[in-house]
Amino acid sequence: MPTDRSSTMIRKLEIAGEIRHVYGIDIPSYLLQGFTVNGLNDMKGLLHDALQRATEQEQGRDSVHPLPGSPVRQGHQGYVTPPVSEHFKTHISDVHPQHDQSQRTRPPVHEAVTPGLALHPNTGTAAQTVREGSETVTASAPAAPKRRGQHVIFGANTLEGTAVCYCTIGQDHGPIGGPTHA
Amino acid sequence: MSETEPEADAEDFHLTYIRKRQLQEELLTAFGVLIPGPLLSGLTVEELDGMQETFRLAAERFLSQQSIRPERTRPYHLPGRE
Repeated sequence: MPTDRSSTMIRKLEIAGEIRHVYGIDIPSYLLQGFTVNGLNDMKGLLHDALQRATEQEQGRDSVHPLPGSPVRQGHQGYVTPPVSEHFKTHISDVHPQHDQSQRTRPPVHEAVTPGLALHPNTGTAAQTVREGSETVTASAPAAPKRRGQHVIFGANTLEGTAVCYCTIGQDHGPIGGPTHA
Repeated sequence: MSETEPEADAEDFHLTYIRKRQLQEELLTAFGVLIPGPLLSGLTVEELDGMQETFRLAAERFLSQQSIRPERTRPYHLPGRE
């Protein structure tokens, strides 16, 4: 029945809106049409648990689980310097499908995520817009409270699409290979 | 304390991390869904696998809905029946 269908769709849109607002996940409309209301609710529950776990992990991360390859320097305020270039090499290939693949030439890693990319030292909610030649990268992180030295993985909008990037709160990533300053 | 244990833990952590990033990338490229990094750390590999399966089923359901619709509207477009 059309009325049932539209009320179901309205309910699905409501849940998708909550998922987007709370968890930052945008479910494309074609998937939404294929989802059931129960399926969406299940996903919301799963994301709720995941966020809780992620928060707990972040609270005890600095000393317990430094990211792989990161030299932990004792007495250095838990500050872990990631192997920046390796991270970017591995993950910069994520480009949002909305961009026309045929028109795109993937930029070298160091051009896609420019040196100087940094998140706000205290909150992680703001990010700098940085330039390297004609390339501009604007990055933003979810508005969860962040501490200096925490690692954040986030989407950065580059001219080539959305890249999944990695950053450390309070650290400016300088030219690939090392930070310019902390 | 043995140095092998922390190394093994670090290795496991590293492999899990890489697998999760792979799944994150697959979800993005296959379905256009980006799982934010902070959330990714709270999801297990199994949960991400489950999400991928759920998205696949949703996409299939969507496609099957699309293939049914033209059949339903067909009589209205046949010549001589308007």
